[in-house]
Amino acid sequence: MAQKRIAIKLVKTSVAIAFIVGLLLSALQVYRDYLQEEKALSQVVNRILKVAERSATASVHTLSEELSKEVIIGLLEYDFIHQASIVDDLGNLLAEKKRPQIESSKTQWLTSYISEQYQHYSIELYPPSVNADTPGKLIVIVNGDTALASFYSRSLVVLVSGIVRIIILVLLLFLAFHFIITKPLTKLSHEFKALNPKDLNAKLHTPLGHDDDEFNFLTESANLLIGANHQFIHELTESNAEIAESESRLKTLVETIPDLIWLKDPNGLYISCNQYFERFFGAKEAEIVGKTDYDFVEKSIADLFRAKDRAAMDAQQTTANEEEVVFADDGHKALLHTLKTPMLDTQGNLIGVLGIARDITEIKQTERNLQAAEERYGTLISNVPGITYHCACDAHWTMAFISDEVESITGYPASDFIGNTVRTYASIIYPEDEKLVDEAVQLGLNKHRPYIIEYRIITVNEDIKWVYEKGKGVYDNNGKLERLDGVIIDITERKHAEVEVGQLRNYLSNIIDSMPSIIIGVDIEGTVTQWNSGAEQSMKLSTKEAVGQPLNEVFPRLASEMPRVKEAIISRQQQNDKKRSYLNNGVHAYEDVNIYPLIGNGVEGAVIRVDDVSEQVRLEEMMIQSEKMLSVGGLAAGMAHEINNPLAGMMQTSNVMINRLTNKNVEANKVAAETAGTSMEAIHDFMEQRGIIRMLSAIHDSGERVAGIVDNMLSFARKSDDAYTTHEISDLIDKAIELSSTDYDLKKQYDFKSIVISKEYEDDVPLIACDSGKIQQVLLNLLRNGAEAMQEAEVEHPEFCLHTYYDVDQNSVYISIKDNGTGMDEETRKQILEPFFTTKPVGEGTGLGLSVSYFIITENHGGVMTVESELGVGTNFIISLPVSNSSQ
Amino acid sequence: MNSLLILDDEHVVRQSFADYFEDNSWNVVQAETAEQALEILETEKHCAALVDIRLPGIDGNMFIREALERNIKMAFIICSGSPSYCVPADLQNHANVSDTFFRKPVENFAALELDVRQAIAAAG
Repeated sequence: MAQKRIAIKLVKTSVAIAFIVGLLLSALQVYRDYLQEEKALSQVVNRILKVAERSATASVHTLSEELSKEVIIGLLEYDFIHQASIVDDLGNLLAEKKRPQIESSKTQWLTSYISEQYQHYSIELYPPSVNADTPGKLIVIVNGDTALASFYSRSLVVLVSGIVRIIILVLLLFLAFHFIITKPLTKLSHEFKALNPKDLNAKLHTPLGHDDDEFNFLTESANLLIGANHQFIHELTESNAEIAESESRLKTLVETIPDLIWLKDPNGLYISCNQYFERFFGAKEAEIVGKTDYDFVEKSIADLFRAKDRAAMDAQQTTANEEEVVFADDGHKALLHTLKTPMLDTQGNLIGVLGIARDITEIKQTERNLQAAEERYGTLISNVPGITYHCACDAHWTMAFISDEVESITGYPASDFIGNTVRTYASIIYPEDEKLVDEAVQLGLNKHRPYIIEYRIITVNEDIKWVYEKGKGVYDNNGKLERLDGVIIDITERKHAEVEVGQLRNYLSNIIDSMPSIIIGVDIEGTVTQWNSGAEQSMKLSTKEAVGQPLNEVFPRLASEMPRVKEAIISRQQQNDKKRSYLNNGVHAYEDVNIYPLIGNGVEGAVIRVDDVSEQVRLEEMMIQSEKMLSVGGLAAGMAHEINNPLAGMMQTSNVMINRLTNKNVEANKVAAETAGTSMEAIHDFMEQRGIIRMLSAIHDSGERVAGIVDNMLSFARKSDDAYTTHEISDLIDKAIELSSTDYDLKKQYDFKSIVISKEYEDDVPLIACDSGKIQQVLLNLLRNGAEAMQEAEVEHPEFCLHTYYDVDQNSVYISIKDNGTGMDEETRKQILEPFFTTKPVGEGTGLGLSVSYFIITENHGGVMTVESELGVGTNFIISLPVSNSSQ
Repeated sequence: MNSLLILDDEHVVRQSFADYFEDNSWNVVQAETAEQALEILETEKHCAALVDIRLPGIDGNMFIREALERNIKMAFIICSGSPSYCVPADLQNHANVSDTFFRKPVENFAALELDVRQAIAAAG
């Protein structure tokens, strides 16, 4: 191909040049030929016309058509004249002849292109004798084509011969080129092509016949190049081997480095990466190469990576950053410290970004831990609420180091003490405590134990502060005391607090003792831990004696409360036992027991509070009683009128009946008896015999009883109108006894005088303002009841104990009426004051007596009436009446 | 002969009073209501009146006041079955009204008769 290309190129060039040059030359020659031909034609035509002029003029002059014809014919003898005509001076055509139209020639197009096919020539004809203004004319039309025919044929020969010459020249040149240049070149190139680059001895040979021309030079140059190439290849091979080895080492290095290493081109396409990096993407290197971050991680993260890449590339230097990433292979999170370095080729062009990332998660964590530990330690040290020191064991306690805290405690800066610059530590110790400190330190050192001292120091403000010091000796390798290390803590507040606690304890125990309640602390075993003065008084047992003893021994009546105590401790809930009744010296008393568990402080136990509520219970009972009676009173008041009227009807009528049946003094009775044919005496006898008088009396008595009941009931509601007068209470009692004895003697066949009455009237009993009648009614009632009770019980030695005394605190006079009858049980005792309650057989008592008595004492006189009784022993009614009776 | 007006709405009670006083030679007139009693007093003259307090219509107190207002000269003795009754002050201090107030049932008629006599004497 090469040889063809060269040959064709050469031929093309030669032909083109020869053609253009030859044609230009030929054309120039033809043009000049044409110009001469044209000039020659014009001269020929003009000469012909000159020749024909005389004949033509003559023909015009004579107007001879014959002559004209002759001229014309003569003219047409020239083959190039196409047409000829003669015109006279008047414009008349004298003669004309036109060559017959011959076939159009092949050159006609060329002629009409370069010239005109028909050219007009004319001359004016002036005949000599004629003086005319207008001459005649001889007109000739020349056929250019015909005229130029010879020119055309000449030109053709010139052109054709020129072209042929050129072609021959080209062929010859082609052959010359082929043999002189193309062929040896082809041969050389074939040889070059066939050359084995590894054959160190291979070389080119100069084509034959070119030993001294450029081909030889070319061959030799090529051989030199080949030799150099061999050398180069050799060196290249060697260096390749070295590179491969180095690369292998590098690869091993890269793979074994516990870092992520990758290389990306400027567009972010991965070029390479190591195994560790593969784990990050969870793909093999082969899969990663050629892809971008966007193919493996979320867009936001990939954006970040790209931004960092660009930053490194823009900065043209290594940039570092930390990234929190997730490994795709096992999903573990890691904090990476990444270095991104722009990679440049030798020309300094950017070829990519090298990334190296190190997993610093653990390092970071360790760092953080360390930091936290340091902070803690630092905080700990700075928060030590005391002075730390190193000092010499000498009389001054010379400080080698003392922490700044010393200033906040003593008011002296630390620098004062170090090396005893301004003052010694010994100088601020309270003088009285110096010896104590000295001894304590020496004791600790002797025993090789830490020393602990509490002593006082004097601050800059001359305040005395308490400090706590703990320290120990530090010894060198030879066992020699080097220094003392220790801490000193301000315990002034604690000391104050201790004093306060002591005071508080005292205060609390005073409060506990001042309470009227019995307060006893017990542990879970029931052992007494606390015993207040209330308990001391109640049990006649001092705190010392009671504490540590079992509760059931020192306070027997609380023994039954132990299950509640345990329940309180376990459930941590307060336990109550309200209105517990017990016998206090034979008298019923009541107490509330509250048990509070002790919660917290590691103390298992309870506090038992016992309050005497006997008085409260009694008051409550009385209140209830009063309420009942008042309601009975209200009922009675409403009923009384309704009962009294029929009762009046019954009783008054019976009275009238008795009067009419028995009274002989009434005139009407006598008259009526006589009218009936009898006498009052007879009627009386009859009634006596038939017991009618007794019956009437029964009616009357029964009516009286009803009236009495109504009256008694009314007394619950009615306030006495009687004025109060002052009386000696003992007088009232004596009168009542007297009345009782007479009363009972008659009706009950019971000798009241057989009852022993022991009186115990105290001297200081003041006078009492009261309704004496009502009080006597009460006393009578009580004595009567007591006597009846003793009679029923058939007591051998019935006895009344009457006791009066004055209670200064209550400002009340007390009357106690005590019998030794059957007594009563608790149930009866509670009901005894209720209206209509009676222990007597039906018909023997209204059941209102005691209630009325109670009402008189409590409601009318503002006093108190209580009953104490024990079955088989006796009953004691206690009445108290206030001395300053302002209620009435 | 002394005459007595007995004013009580309770028939049995009124009759028992009437029987007693008649037996003791009193001229007795009975009235069941205060209105009836006032009517009687318009035409008849009596020495004394035994007056119950709780009555249908005009009560005993009003009856006494009305009678006193009419200037009827007679003694008034009050007798009531109501336990909470107290003689009003204007009547208590009046000379024609007995100081003693009797409560039903009256057990002692003799005492009552004596008081009536005394009251008549006091009223003049």
